[in-house]
Amino acid sequence: MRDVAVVGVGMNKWGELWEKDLRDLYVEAALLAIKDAGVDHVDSMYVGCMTSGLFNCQEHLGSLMADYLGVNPIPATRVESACASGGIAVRMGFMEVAGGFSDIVLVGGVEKMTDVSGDGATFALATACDQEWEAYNGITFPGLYAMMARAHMAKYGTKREHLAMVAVKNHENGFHNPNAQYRMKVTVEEVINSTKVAEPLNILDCSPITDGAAAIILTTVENAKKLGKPIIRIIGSGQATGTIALHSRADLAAIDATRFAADKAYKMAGKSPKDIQFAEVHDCFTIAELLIMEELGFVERGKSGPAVEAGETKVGGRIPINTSGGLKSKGHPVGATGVAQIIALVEQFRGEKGVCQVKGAKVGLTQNMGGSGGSSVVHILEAMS
Amino acid sequence: MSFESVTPARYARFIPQRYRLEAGYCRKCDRYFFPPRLVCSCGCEDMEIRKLPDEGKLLTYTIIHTPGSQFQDERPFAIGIVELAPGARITTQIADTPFDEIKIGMKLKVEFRKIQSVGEGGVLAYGYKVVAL
Repeated sequence: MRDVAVVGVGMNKWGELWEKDLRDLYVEAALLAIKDAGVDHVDSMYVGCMTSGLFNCQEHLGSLMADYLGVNPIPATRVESACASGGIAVRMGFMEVAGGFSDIVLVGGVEKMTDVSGDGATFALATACDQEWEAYNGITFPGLYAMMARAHMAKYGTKREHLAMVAVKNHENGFHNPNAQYRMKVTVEEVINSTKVAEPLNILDCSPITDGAAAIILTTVENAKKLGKPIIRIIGSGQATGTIALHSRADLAAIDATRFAADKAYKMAGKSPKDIQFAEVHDCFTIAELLIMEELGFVERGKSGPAVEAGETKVGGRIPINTSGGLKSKGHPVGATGVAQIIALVEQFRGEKGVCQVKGAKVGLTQNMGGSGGSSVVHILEAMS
Repeated sequence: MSFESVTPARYARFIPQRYRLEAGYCRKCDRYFFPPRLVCSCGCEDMEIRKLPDEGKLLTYTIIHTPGSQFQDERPFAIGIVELAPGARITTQIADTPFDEIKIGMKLKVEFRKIQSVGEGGVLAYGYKVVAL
């Protein structure tokens, strides 16, 4: 297996981008990544996207994006795993370079979500849960995470305020990110008094509906050296599945797939949770960040709420989480999220994060997941000196 | 949204489960699957069909204020996860129960109810909801 490095990253400001089409979003990010890497071609490409069929009546994204990027006839592959589409696309690109099938691979993710109404988006996103046995009866994604929040509160005594503190922290970080969709600070009181979505979750506990794309260039470490780029290696990659329906899980206050994916990534990287300096995790809802902290081994089970309250996950804390603003503030264009998490790590390694900079950032982790935890993917990256 | 979440063939396929709570049962594991599956997680493919009891316990719940397009007229409504037998749980609306009386651990009874109306013609789709026992 060959060592793989991230040599280029590209993303534009995310938000409600009515003037931009699905293909424009992807191609813009891809061009930025290609320029950043300084490569003159790519051998193969991936497109992480959850549901362009429902959002834009457009499938066959491999062909569309390769055509509009002007790179026909290279192979282009669409990857779908609900909200983990981007992270799993990264893993596919990593495997293609590591396995020796291609030397330079473009991995992009994209979602164009504002072409449909809000309840249309709720319908489209609900196809990531069990359509016949969950969505048919009226559950929504905020509803599924709300039920996990209620289970976690009942089992461990997690407080409503703990959930709100995750949103406060991530908005504090996103305020400093020029590409973030919602660059505003919020308070615990504002989160708790915001519009109800699915109790106990309010609108400020939820990641937004976003148009956006993100792209990275992967190549061998050998090539990265030739390009004169700082060497940022992917040293661990793990992927796992869990039951599609939340109700089938033995523990409703846990996300097994993330634990299994993390175990594999830690083992491959030869690292343990205490070696991780900072992380970008899938805070689609505030409760998700708490559950993930426990599954990644950053805190003991049930102790995530008090850890956030103690400031352990803030910039400057023991393990800063979502220094980019996370899905909550940066936005969550579903298929792009997992790719943008890698970009957030690269920006830290390159020392570009200003007030959100993690000092001496060398080892970071990304965690991306689909549905209520039916799929999950974890990557560990290391900056080589 | 121009997509219909329930079509006639899809609806008819699941009548045994939605009308009669028919589950799969693995004798080897003493475990139920709802809906029935072709294979148990133990690898056993010889699963029998058994009807689930129509009473169970609430494991967790939420009150939905912003539902998907098909449930706009019903909001807000309560929905939760109810365990009916070992391994057999359903995600189901909690009907006719004041929100402040809903508690984790409460006993609930399954009833046959209208779930949603489908398409421009408003064809009714049925299934199960639970009420306080």
